[in-house]
Amino acid sequence: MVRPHTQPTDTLRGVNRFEGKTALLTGAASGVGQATSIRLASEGAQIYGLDVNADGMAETKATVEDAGGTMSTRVTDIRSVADCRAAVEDCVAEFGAIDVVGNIAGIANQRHVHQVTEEEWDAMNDVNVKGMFFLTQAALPHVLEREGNIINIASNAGLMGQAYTVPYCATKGAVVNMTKALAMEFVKQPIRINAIAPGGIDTPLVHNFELQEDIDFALMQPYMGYRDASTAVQIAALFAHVASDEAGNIHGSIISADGGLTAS
Amino acid sequence: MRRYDGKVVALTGAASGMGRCTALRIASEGGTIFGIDIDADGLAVVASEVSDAGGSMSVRVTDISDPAECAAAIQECVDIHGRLDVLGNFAAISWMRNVVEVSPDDWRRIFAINVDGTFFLCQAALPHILESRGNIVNIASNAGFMGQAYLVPYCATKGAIVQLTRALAMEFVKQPIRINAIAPGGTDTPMNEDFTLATDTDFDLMKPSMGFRGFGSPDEIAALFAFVASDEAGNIHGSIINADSGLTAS
Repeated sequence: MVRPHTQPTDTLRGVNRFEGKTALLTGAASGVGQATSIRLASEGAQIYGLDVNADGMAETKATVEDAGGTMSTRVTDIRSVADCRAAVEDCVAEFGAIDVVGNIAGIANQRHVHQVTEEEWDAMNDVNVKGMFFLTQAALPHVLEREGNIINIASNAGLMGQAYTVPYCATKGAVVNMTKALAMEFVKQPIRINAIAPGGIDTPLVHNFELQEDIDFALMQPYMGYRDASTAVQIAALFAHVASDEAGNIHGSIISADGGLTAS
Repeated sequence: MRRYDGKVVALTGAASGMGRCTALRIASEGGTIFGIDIDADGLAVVASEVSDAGGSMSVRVTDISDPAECAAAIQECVDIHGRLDVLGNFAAISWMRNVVEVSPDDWRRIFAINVDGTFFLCQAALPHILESRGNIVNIASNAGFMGQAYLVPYCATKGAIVQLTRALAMEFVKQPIRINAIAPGGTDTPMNEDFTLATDTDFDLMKPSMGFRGFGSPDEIAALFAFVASDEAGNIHGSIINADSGLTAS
């Protein structure tokens, strides 16, 4: 496969780190999932994108293809275990393998604890935790076959208590320890399982945050921090390093990229 | 445009192991290396390796356990190269010893190199890092996160590096610089070749820190360093990045 014009100027010494590899990415319609699709494709990966948002994925795919990359998409609701399994089968049927899984899809909102409904609680867990688990479960045999790796997107919210985001914090704490437990279960196999824990990122997930009334902003300061929001492109660059063969000794790590939020 | 074109990178421990691999890696991406180590011969070898590969490296033999020497080394770097963009604190010592056998001199020596050296190099470098909007990467260890038998002083120094890094990151969170640490697991370097077991070692106690995947490669640490210290990692600040093949996952 010849891909002469798609190497970003800021990557490594002209090496296409993902040449011949297939990356299965959830949340590929926007934000970090979109940026990661574009980044990995620019380094030679074939992208198989999953999302519930067909229009957003079409946009990602068009951007990838305009730059000379390869991407297929499948509208998938990862809340359904059957859909997770079918998506993995479809990816393997089309590209023949899975080298990298990026569990990027996630939802968030801001609520007082007393406002949280059972439906909201279940939806948050179904997307952020259950979907991640069952997609990973379905993909693992293929990742083992290719000696590949899995990257879950956690959050600073999985490492610190944040007022008004109790369900989100609970799901991201689950992602943190699910990642470590998966890493231990497969520590004797030649695959890698890690998580990236971003801070606030300038993505649609954060834009959709509607502030609740009666917010005590002093309680929010620790997770607002002092630096600008991260960009999805920065998380994509970190994802590309961790998912590449250059990161062969990174396993079971939760890598914070949050402008200093979790330093205190 | 390579990631380190036009940048000056000071690395301690540059004579061997991870420091050497990082010097070679960053020089290959365009960075000018200022190598610091107490081992003059090793530094000379690495400088010629960098030069043979087409890179640029100057060296200074320095005992970082002396704060005045730390300040002098940073000053010399800036005098020669005109700036400082990245400081990498690799230099460290380690040995396995039963607690009862650790002498006061042993304890003071390991702290003087592993902790005092890192602190006073950071202190001296910070004005220049602020000027270049650069960053500092300290080398911690899985030993900074988990208790390891027969390595009590080493664990204490690496725990200190973890918190020193986080505290520095908070003190400079409003300035446009970045301060992070990498926490490797056991790595295939001269530091680990020289290990002698402690007297009457109980291997059961060592299992949790041996892991299942063997030693990492210093090239992997160099690659991670090259990413974290590059402008691609603009949102990584105050992070301690584990690269230990799963040691700290459990």
